[in-house]
Amino acid sequence: MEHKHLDELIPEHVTLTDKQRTAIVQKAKNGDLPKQMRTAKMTPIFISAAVISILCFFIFTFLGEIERKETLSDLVEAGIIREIKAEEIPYESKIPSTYITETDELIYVSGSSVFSYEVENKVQRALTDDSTGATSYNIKANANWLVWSNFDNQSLHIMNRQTMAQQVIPDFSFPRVILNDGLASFYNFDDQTFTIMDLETLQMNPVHTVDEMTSTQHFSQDGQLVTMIESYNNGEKRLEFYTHDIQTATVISVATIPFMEAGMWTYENGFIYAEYQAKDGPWKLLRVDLATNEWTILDVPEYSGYAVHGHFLALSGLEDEQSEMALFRMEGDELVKLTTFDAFTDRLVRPRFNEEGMLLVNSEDEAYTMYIVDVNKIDE
Amino acid sequence: MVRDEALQQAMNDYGHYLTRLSYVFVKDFSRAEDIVQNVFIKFYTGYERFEGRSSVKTYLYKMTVNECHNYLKSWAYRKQELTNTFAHAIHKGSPESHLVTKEGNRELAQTLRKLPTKYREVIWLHYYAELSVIEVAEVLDCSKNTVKTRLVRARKQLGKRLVEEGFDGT
Repeated sequence: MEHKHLDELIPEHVTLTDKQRTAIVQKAKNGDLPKQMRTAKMTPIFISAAVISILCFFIFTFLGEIERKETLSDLVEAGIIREIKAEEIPYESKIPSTYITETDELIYVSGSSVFSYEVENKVQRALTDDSTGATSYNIKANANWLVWSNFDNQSLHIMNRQTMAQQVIPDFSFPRVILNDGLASFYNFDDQTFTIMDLETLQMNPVHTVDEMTSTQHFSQDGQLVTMIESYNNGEKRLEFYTHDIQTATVISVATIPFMEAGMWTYENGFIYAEYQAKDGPWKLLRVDLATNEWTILDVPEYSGYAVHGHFLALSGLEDEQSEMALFRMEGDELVKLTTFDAFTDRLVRPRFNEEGMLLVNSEDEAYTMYIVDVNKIDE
Repeated sequence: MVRDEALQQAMNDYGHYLTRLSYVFVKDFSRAEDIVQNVFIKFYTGYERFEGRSSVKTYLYKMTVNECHNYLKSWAYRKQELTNTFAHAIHKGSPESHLVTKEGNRELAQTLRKLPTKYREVIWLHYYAELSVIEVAEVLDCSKNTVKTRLVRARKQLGKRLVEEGFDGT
């Protein structure tokens, strides 16, 4: 057995990226404690319960399958759920794929090429050739634009999807580019500035310059850019959130909260969400209301992944759910569980919303089916 | 600073392989990134205490394997593994089931998937990370003989078919 045989089994994009190196150096120098990994222990009683559950699963598989189909078909008929088999797409490409409502397509990377898969017509086509350096984790797409960073030659590629014309910005080594309509936003490490770029004209517009090197995040939605920085004030570490009007590059509001060790940040409709863990405690969800400067720790069950849109929250990795996924409606600080995923018996993973409220999830069934849940229809 | 340079050097030398090894264990790129980030931050913050105790390579692999083990102890993950044990007909992923399975490697991936964890990890550490038997023993906190035994049994279980495919099992 040789190293190269095993190496070929691991997707090429799996490596220590420049973005990750930068984050490590920043956090190491700031003295940040490493993020705690989830280490919930499995007790013997849990093992027994799992064994019994699995045996029951076999006994009732047939009956369960019939019931699942009936219930699923109800949801499909109501237009709440769509099923995407797309067996021609490899699983490792399905997992990080995104769904664009306007064009009803999945965007994914296979090899080093970016592909589009039309959900209704079941047609896939390559949007780029395989020399682009694109990976599943560095592409952003909407109906009109496709943007990706090439870490090999440190460049940013911009494709106008209407004309298929491509432009390349050289010497671009900034991770986490965010796409919002015809604008891309990124954090320029060289001059410590959050910058907006017009994808049509390539004009750069600096929006927010940070005084000192610190950990940052940024988000963009509805003509606004939200930037987050870790700052010190009288020896106290804190988190500051600036909401900017992109058109005028002016600050609309500032929210400040005490520093918390958190990660997996999301911005949604005036609220910031993040995974938060108090010392040795379970993972909870932090929610910051940028309008009122108030923050809340949502009491969620132990989970592994989350996605949020409006007042809907999807959690994966839930012990008590057959599919390990559930959808909740947030009513103030309370979570009300919905029955949307109760019909599923196979494990569901990787919940993610697009801007229109389409929730995309992956199933670990034989075909690695994907499902799109339209949460807007749940409220109707 | 010495430790700044040591961190950069460690990321240069081992960052790529530690990330890929973590991915093999936890099958999730984001988790693998978290794990490797933790390892390097701990390396940096504990550098003073680390110096001279063991080789940087062994230390980093040991830390990475420990972090992966911690993650794999989580209830959600263990439940998935149990399901695999009882329901091999259900194709729910052990780590290797989510690796790239190009035509020529499908056989290797499928065969690796069937190995118990204790055999899979010695295979990846010895043949992929290219750690010696002594180094694997140090990383896994077990004796050299245990590593040797696991390697022999793992190779045996990998079986004849891989030899025919050109994986010589040595």
